[in-house]
Amino acid sequence: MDEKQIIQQLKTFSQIQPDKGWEISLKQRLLAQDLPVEATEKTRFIFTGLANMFSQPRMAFAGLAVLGVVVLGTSFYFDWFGLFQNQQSKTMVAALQTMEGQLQTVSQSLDGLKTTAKVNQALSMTEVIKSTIKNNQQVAKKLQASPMVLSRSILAGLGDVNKASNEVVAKTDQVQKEILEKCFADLKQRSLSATDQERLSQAEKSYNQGNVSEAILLLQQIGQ
Amino acid sequence: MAKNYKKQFGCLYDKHIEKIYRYVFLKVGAKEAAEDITAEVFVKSWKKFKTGLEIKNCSAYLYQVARAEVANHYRSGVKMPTVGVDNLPLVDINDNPEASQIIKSDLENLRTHLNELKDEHQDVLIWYYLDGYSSKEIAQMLDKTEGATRVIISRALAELREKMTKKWPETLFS
Repeated sequence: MDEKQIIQQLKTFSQIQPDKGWEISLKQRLLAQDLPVEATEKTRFIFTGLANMFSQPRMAFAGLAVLGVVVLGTSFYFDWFGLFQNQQSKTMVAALQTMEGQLQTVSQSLDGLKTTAKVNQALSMTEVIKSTIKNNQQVAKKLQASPMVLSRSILAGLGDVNKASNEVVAKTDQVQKEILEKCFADLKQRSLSATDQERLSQAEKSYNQGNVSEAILLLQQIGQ
Repeated sequence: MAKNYKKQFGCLYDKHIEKIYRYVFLKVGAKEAAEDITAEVFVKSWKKFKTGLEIKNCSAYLYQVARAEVANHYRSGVKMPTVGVDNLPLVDINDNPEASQIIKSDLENLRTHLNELKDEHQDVLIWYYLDGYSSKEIAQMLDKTEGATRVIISRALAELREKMTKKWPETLFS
């Protein structure tokens, strides 16, 4: 293989291109970040001052020390080295993985609710689960829509958590349906007071209209 | 003023995004990692840009940040990957599957050998032959004379050729 062939092959690499969608979204996310702040005359003065210090041999050591302190001190705020961002990114990915694991645990424990004798508590629990998950999903959506530049691993983590959340919500709906239908069948066979009979009828009506929360509240009032 | 900054950075982004992505991709060999690292390069550049401090040579600065980010990537324990031939994000050669498979296979071989060169040699080959920078522009990026840069480009190419022919002796094909 001669050099011409190698050059020809090297030039083929110029066809390597990023995904257009990614390219556009990165630009939008970058430019949507907080508005630029122009370096003030004061900042420029500090940098000019430091440069002058370095130009004098006697002051060079002191200048270096001052510069070190300034760089280290400000790095905590400005994150010159990107250390904290990377750490934050790792922490965020780990937190998302923990969330996903917890959602799986919740999903497994939902099966236990179907057979529990404490129907009221089971129904309340399903409502709490659904509401918590929906709140988390809203937070995740806000995060995804924020102008922050999220790494691919964070976005993938958010996607996984969202998928797991949807699965748990769907399973919770199914468990609620099973418990409620069992509950309606059971209560219909019992002799209830006129008020409770009315509550049961209202609860069933609400359930059929898709208003599960109201149906649960009405059922919880029966016998009280 | 803010709009001007955004416009200027937007132009800088449009001009360099493909080159920086390609540069990073050739070094890390994985699409996702290349996207993450390229994003980090532009986030850092945007942070620097919006301070208003002058960046003398934007191309040189972006490549410098990219080089540091690639080094960080490998410092974090990631091993040099071997890219599957189907994963090369090439735009024009996918119409003919058979030809594209052969080309991609050759290219992956070339990329592997390119990664075996020292960083400066890799960089000059990418800049000169892929990105189309002149030896004068590369000299400015490397802070060297144009003559010295031409010598580096020539040596880099010779070294790459040597590696390619060692792996695939011409006698095998003659």
